[in-house]
Amino acid sequence: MVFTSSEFILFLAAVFVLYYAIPPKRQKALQWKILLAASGFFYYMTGVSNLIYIGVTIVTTYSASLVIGKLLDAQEQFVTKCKNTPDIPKTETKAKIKAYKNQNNKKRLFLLTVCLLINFGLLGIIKVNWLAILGASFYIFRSMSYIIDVHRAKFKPLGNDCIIGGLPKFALFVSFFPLIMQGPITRYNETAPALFGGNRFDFQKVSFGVQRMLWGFFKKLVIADRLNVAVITLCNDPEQYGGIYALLAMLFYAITLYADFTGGIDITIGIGEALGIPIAENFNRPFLSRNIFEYWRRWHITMGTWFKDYLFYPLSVCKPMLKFSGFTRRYFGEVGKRIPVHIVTLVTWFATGIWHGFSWNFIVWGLLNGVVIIISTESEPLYRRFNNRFAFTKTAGYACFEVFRTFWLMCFIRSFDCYIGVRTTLSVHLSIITNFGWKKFTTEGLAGLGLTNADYAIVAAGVVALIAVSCIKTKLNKLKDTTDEVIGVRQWLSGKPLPFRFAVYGTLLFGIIIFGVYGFGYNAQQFIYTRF
Amino acid sequence: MEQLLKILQDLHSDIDFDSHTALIDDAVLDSFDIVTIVAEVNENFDVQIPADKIVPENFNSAAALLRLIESLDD
Repeated sequence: MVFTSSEFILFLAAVFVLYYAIPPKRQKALQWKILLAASGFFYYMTGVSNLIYIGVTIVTTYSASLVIGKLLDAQEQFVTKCKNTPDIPKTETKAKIKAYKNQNNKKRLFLLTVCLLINFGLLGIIKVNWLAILGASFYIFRSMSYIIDVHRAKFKPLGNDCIIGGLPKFALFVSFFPLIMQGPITRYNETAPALFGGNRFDFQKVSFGVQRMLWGFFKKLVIADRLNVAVITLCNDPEQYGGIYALLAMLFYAITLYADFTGGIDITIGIGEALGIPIAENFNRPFLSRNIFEYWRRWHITMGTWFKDYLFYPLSVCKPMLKFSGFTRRYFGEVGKRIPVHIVTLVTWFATGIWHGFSWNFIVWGLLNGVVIIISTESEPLYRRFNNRFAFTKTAGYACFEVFRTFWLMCFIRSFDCYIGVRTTLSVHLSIITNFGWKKFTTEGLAGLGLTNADYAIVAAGVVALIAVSCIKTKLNKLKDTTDEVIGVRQWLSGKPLPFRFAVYGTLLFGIIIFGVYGFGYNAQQFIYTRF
Repeated sequence: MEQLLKILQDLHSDIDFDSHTALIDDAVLDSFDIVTIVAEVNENFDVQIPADKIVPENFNSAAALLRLIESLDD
């Protein structure tokens, strides 16, 4: 059941009616149960075997985190008891507590490791065999962040007070239907209060949620599904479409992937908002980034922070790495200080590549990101000197150049995930220099890529709308300090006169109805990121 | 504090670390800087900052970072 299918719209309407039909007094007790039933049904519709895989993740993570929680409770009680025993010398108490904590930590680490091995092992099997277990990368990462945070005593695990009662709640956290297919990879402590707290009908939240969903449908149905036809034509026949067409393929893929992935996330966040459940943002106008660091802070944010919090930092600050860091700085001076960080950067990006798929394409894609990040880090002093030396680097024109440069750099790196193999991608890159094919382009143009002139015009109008919304958001937030909450375009729109607002809503709605790629005989296209 | 400020100044000489209180929120420090700081703190203060303490609250200002170091040293 794809988000853009008519069945999903009906399903969603039914969930909304049931969710808000519950009297306010019973909302806290019943609403989450409706969401659990809905999520179970939604995921069941993707295939029965999928339920077995998600079941293993739910049961193993829940039981391991429960025992870890009990061990932490026991440790807390022991420490309090020791501190409240006045007749034992302080040094003896300290040593006793330290020994207990060590032993407790070992047990917790063992449980955590077993749980991580089972689940990442499962994910490995799914990836290596290319099994179509939808959303596994997302729900396994969500579950593993939960158990690591329980181990870090960030919060008490579900079921700490009632073992049986906690399991269905945990099952909902893992399988919440708007998030299951392509994220965002939410954190438990951020989602749980609203997910289990009960939510009253709030007209503004529902209205904002529906607007966000419409924007997502517009991106997906009007832009992504239309332009994807040209992307497939261009990427499936690299022999014929090299040179300038390869550049076009990269540009079209960037637009398609952006519209597809952010559109899907808009629908997800919109559903959450309409249900009164805030969901973490996954994008922040990434194509306006001025360098690769900024890009990865603004594209697929929850995946980036997951790898940062649970792989990059733990690896960078673990004892062996700090020892290694001491060694490299003694023998290699200033450069030596950075060697361990660069190694961890490469490991993290290698893992990020594998997360996307078990093939050389993604490994090269991941490592290439890592290498560019390392080169950029090493070149930073050079950039700083250059920027201080030349005044033009402070101008808006230079900022535009940096945005343009980053956009195309990311297009080149991203091309590894749209062509069939690494060798093909490299030969396509080479063709841009050796056989640009300007003559072919001037005679054939864009005809033959599967789209009509009207289609290109619609895509162009859609892209203008995307850019306009990004610019409005940028302008709105330039007026504020960066630490302030981001002002949304919907908020801005709600302050405009009624006729203007309705003209915008109407254009969006009829834009989807008239220009959306759907209808009889049309198969709802799955979102690109569900394959990861 | 002076020793800590020197570590921070070596990373970004153009920032006034004495008064800045949103080093993470304003993206002054990135993940590379944070890991470098952790390694420097380990080297100069003999204090190991564990991964679960790498949260914005502990790295948003020099004072917060110093509090973290002192609490871990305890």
